[in-house]
Amino acid sequence: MAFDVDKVLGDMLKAAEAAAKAQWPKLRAEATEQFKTLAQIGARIEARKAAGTITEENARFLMWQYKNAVETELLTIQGVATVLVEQVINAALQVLRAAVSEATSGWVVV
Amino acid sequence: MLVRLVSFRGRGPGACALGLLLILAGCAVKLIADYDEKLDIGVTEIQRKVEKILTKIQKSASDPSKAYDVADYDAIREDLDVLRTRASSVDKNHLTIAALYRVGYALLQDPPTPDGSDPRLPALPAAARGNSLQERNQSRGRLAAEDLSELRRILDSLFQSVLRLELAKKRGDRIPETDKAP
Repeated sequence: MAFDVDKVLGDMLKAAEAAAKAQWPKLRAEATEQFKTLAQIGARIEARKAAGTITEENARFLMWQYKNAVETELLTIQGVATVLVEQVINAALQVLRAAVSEATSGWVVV
Repeated sequence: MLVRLVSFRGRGPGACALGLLLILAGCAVKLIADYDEKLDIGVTEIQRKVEKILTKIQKSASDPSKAYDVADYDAIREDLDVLRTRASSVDKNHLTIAALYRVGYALLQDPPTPDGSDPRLPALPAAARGNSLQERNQSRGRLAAEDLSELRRILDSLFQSVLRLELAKKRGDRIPETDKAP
């Protein structure tokens, strides 16, 4: 079966969106760039396989390496999304902290 | 600076709620481990070792087995073991640990695998067997210049993913750019 770059890229982005959850809009542009590069690598390997310009051994080897790199990139997307969620929560807490500090004029809670 | 100390003990639910609010306001949430410079440096060092291996393979691309030296891979395995142990000692770091396992899967024959106690860590896929760099390095099958170029791009992407994950823990607000391999 031919390697459809657009479909593979779409599938990768769906997986990335699932990993990034609500943070996906902030990550979409850069993740798309990363996955586009990877999808093009996959497409080139498949095209060479179809053209008979790559050995079976090398095609199998490179495709596995490629899939492993995609999985690793998904971990990165998930990690960056987690950092963003953390920043959102802490920004909200900072607002709360400022409001409480103002309301209590610098009390220390024990 | 003059501060007032307040106790909410025995002051009813309203006071307790206010107390909880005050405590929450004083906390910062941490969902993922902090940036670790040693891990950043360690991963970059592994990438450098891999680049040396690729250069050796390139010089005997017609028969990569002639460029094989088990010591090259033993050194990478040791580095990865140290980094994984270091990453495992930190709370909320499973994504980095998983990424380090994946680096091992890409590079090593019989790579270290998780013991199965943490379902978030990736088991070694069956397709990985026979397809690590170490195994390909032992094979006599020719690697064309194009194959090597693709392999370099793939491994660059792999290392960049691990490094970008680590750099993101510096709490930047976007996916940080990393330098290309030296």
